[in-house]
Amino acid sequence: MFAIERIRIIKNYLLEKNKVSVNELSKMLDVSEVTIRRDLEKLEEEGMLIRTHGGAVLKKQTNPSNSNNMKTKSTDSTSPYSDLYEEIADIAIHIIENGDVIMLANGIINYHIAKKLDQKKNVTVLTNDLLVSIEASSSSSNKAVLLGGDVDYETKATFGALTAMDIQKFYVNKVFIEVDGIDVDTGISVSTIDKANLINSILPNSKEKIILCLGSNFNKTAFYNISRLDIAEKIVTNSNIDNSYKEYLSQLGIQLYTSINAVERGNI
Amino acid sequence: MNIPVLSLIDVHKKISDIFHLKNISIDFYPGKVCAVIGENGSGKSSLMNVISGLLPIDKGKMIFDNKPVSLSSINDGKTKGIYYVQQETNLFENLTVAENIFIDSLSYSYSPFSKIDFNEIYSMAEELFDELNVEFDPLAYVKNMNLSQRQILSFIKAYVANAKITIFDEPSSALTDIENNILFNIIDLLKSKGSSIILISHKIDRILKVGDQVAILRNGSIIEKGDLKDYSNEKIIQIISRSSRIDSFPKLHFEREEKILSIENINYKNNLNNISFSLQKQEILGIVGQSNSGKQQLIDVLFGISKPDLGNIILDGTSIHISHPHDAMEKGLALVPEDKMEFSIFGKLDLTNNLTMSSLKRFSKNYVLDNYITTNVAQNYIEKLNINPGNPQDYIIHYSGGNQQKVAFAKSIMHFAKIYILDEPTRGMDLASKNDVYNIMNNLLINGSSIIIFSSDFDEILGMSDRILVLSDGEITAELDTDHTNREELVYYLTL
Repeated sequence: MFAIERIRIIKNYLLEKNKVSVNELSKMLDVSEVTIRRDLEKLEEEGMLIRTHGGAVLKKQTNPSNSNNMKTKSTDSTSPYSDLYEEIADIAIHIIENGDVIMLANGIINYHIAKKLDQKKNVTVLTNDLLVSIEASSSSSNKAVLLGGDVDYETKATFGALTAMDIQKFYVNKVFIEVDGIDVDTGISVSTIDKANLINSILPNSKEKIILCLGSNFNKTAFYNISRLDIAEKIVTNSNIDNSYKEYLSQLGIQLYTSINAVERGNI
Repeated sequence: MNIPVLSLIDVHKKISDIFHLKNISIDFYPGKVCAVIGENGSGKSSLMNVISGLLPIDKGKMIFDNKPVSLSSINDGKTKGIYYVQQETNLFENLTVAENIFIDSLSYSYSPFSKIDFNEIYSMAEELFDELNVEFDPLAYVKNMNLSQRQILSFIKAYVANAKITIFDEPSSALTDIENNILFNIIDLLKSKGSSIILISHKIDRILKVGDQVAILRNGSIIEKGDLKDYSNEKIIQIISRSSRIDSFPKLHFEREEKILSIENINYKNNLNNISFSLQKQEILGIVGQSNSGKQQLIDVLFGISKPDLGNIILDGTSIHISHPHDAMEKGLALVPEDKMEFSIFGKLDLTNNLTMSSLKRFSKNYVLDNYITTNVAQNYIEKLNINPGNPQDYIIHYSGGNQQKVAFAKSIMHFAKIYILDEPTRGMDLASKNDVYNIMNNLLINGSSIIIFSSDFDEILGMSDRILVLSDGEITAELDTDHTNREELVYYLTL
């Protein structure tokens, strides 16, 4: 059995029983107690459990934070949504081709994309996000351009009149926009006016519009409306969206990428 | 002369949940050949099934010999004078050539107790062969004949039947020119006797040679019909290749430089000739071909179901021998077949068993399986692939085609393969399930696998593959780069 499968089974078992013993798990999964202890250690690091003598007990989970809250750009792997962001970024990175000129608007998915940019060559990244610019410039074969403006305290990104003016100087062939709401009737929306303004200023200066969004933000409308859905060429999201959206977007001619993360590989 | 022998008026027929024959109105005239063309899955065979009486119509009218008619069976059609030569030959293997020829036409003329005069049958067969200029032994058994001989025999049977309407379904793809001429000769003779011929074929040049009228089908409807003299080869290709869909395929881009598979000079019986191609890591290679192109044989060879007579398969730099599907899976190849119920999933087993079927080795301890573990693993895949309704204890036979396909996928994904061979992965699915399948393919690529996709859906092939191979009569006749080709070019190579 792959390690990743084993760990998931331990997790599920623990969630059911609240308490597990090393001996019991070792027998069930047919691996040594040392291996089980190592797995439990890993799960303890993730904050899943507390190890006890000869076993472990389930740690009471605190409520996960709201998905729209992008205040903290937490980079640690324990954030409950980090996997979902990562899955989307894993797909988006393969939409980028070597030599592309792209814009990554501020946001946590785009931050994950920036971290993966070392897989690509000669990509020029325009961004208003300080952390994205740091990641995008970490590989010498890529180039990052940071837009000037007022630095927002919460998002660590630049906004305002200066940024909008700066954007007019560029033309990108792909723009990646993270949004907070996608809805059949209201279209695409975000939760701050600064971001809405920023996106509206880049749209005319970009060729292909790629919308990024958590699956849970479908059927939602945030406060600031940007535009209708059909300006998007591509939408990248998680796989748990409604089938009716899959059908609707296909009919609109929008390429829909969902992060069906089915393949699990690992050592036996 | 200008009174049609058969008219279909606004005929509707539901074939499956998502495929219908719609608004079919067409006339067939005595002494004329009407060619029916269209892509695979456009409804040609379904239409013939309706005309021959195999399928009753839901709505509309059929006028046969100036009288409204409703056919109750294919036999009913036959006795009324509609003879259907299907794609697959329908002969009695253990009877002789002559017996096969006259089994339909003479069986009615004998009363139950009269003796059959075999000498007469054999001499009649001899006369017939002289008339048609073919060299057959009336005493030979059908089981000893090859495929093209059997096809010719079916044509002769159709000639003897002397029906008012004779339907030939895709008859010419596996035939040589000489054999084709026999068919054309039979068609000419039937024409001169006043029979109305319906000819289904994808070889446009052959159609132009013998046809009088043409009907082009797409998506269950006739999109164009008229006199063939008004149509050129190019015009027909243009009409067939007009796409009805807009591009919305989730195509990804990979920087590829590693070759994963090389196929070198594969030969298999008469079906595959010198097939060579290669596949790169994280590439999607599309292969298109008509139903007799050797496509099935190529899949069989790749997955170890048939052993090639000649040729090499090189995987990851080493030459491998695959003599059984088990070898193929061991080496890292997976097949998601078109007919899932027959070859991939077990209707009478539950979801858990179906999903874990190929990976049981991994989950067993000392040859014993733990239900807790298999259910847990299955549950994870059910959630990830949105398999609905998704209760691990459900029997899979009750699931929709789309969900069965996802189970077949999940099963081979769990086993993890380097190369996935997909045969018609989305045929008969709704848009949402199709999108899921494309995104599953993307997930396989992201994780380093490669894909060979066999599909008759041109939009899908153009939308998802990186390169396209055209397979025709057992040979690769074209290799196209998806970025630099279009439907029209694809259709052109397929109808060559």
